[in-house]
Amino acid sequence: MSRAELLVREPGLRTLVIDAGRLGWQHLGMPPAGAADAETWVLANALAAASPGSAALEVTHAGPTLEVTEGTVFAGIAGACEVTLRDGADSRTLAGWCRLIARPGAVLELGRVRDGLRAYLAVAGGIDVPPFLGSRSANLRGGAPGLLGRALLAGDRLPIGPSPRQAWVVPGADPPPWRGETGAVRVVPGPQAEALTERGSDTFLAADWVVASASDRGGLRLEGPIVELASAADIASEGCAAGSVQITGGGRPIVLLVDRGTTGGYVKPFTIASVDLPRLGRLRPGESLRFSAVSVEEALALRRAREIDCQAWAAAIR
Amino acid sequence: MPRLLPVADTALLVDLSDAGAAAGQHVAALDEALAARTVEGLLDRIPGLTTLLVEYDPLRTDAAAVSQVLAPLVDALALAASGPARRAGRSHRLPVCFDADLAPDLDSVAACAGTDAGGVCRLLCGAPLRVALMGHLPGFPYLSGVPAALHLPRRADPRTAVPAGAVALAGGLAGIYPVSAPGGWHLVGRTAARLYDPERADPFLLRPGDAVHLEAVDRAAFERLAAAGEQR
Repeated sequence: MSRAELLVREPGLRTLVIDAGRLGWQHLGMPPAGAADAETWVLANALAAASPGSAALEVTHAGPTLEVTEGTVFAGIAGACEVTLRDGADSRTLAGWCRLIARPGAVLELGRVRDGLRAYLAVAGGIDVPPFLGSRSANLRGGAPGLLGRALLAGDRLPIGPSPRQAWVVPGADPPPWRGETGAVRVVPGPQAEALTERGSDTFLAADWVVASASDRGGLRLEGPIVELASAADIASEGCAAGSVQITGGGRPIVLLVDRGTTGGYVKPFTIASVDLPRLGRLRPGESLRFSAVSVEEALALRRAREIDCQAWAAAIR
Repeated sequence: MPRLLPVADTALLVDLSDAGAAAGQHVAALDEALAARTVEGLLDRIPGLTTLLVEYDPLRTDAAAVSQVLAPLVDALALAASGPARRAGRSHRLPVCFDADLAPDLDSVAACAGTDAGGVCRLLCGAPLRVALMGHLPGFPYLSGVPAALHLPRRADPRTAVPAGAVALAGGLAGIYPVSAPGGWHLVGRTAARLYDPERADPFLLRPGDAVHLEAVDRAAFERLAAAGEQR
């Protein structure tokens, strides 16, 4: 078992420490936070041979430059994020979906993310910053101690947990076959399914929506037609599930993501099926999407089938 | 009848609004009853004003299994004739400054309430407020017990940034912003108390069920208390 450390030389556009999120505190208003594209985070941990649930780095648009200051780092990168490993006079560049062994003094330079908004860099042993309220996920709404209160900055030091030495035979993997899917995003009826008129519901399911530039990890704001409400958009404040589709008083949809307000007072006529939630974390502002309605049972079956596919993908690179 | 409503393949919403004025107590009692059991695959519980959202891992359980746990707990609530007892919370006095620059909507709220700024201040500071719910932001309390004269709808035009400490009114409730955030409530004062502080042993000042009294303080006292909070 050996320990290691990474020094942040360049932070990238927005690089966050993330894990599965901070569950168990939403009743006090803490957003769950965690990976915006949880599926790709899980695959990154599989590539790095990190224990499931290990904290990793979420890269947004373009990634950081990291120097190994101690120990040897066994890293996995999920997402089409170009990565260059410089070790003395040696330099090699890979297109992402790969694993790398970086020795002391080596520098990992992550470039642009080419297949969406985010990529994930995981390390065997996990990013070992002290957890806050049970999680190693950055909280951007109100902060958290140390590196979990913000995006990474140059000069930050990332401790890496102990891990056995890896002797990898498989250097990487093809992206999962479902990765480029462009079909409609599946939705199930939300808690206020009756809040839209029939026309409003048809509008939501028929329109081509565009991700607005004001979108963030809290929510995707969608540009398109006005969705007609049957009555006022306000309800008594209640808990918001992951992927809830809020319709504001002006008839505008907002899909709630990981940094969402835990409670809200707008109606939520639809919820994104959990199988398609990771896709929303990949969408860049300006990209378009459509929705299609499925039942909760269908959504559950799709999610469970996807889990089997993910496990098969991970088993193939072991 | 209370409704158990699947609202996702990862969540169920228990709607207790039928209990009327007792809904909040029923939500708290159900939340506590659920917290006392180990439920396979349960990820989190989020009380609302009249609802409880239960989130679960769809790879370990499903709506039918979670409903089976919830249904008898919900039935037990309905059987308690007088409603479950309210959990005794702690009591807090929060210093609030009502100076005009810290309370940009105080005059418009006063006009709606048919009083002046001093009248709003006296109404709020005289009210026994209670944390009905927490949510929206880390440590944000939805406070019940606001005098009827101060029940207002949200502002038509939400602000892009409400400062930390802002004491706000909307929808018959008061709220206090622990951290700066966008918001559509009417801003009527500013507290020096820190409702969320990640560096504190307990980051959250309040808990659902706690009693809250607002205490008017002058600018000098506000600045002193705010500075003391910064240093700690």
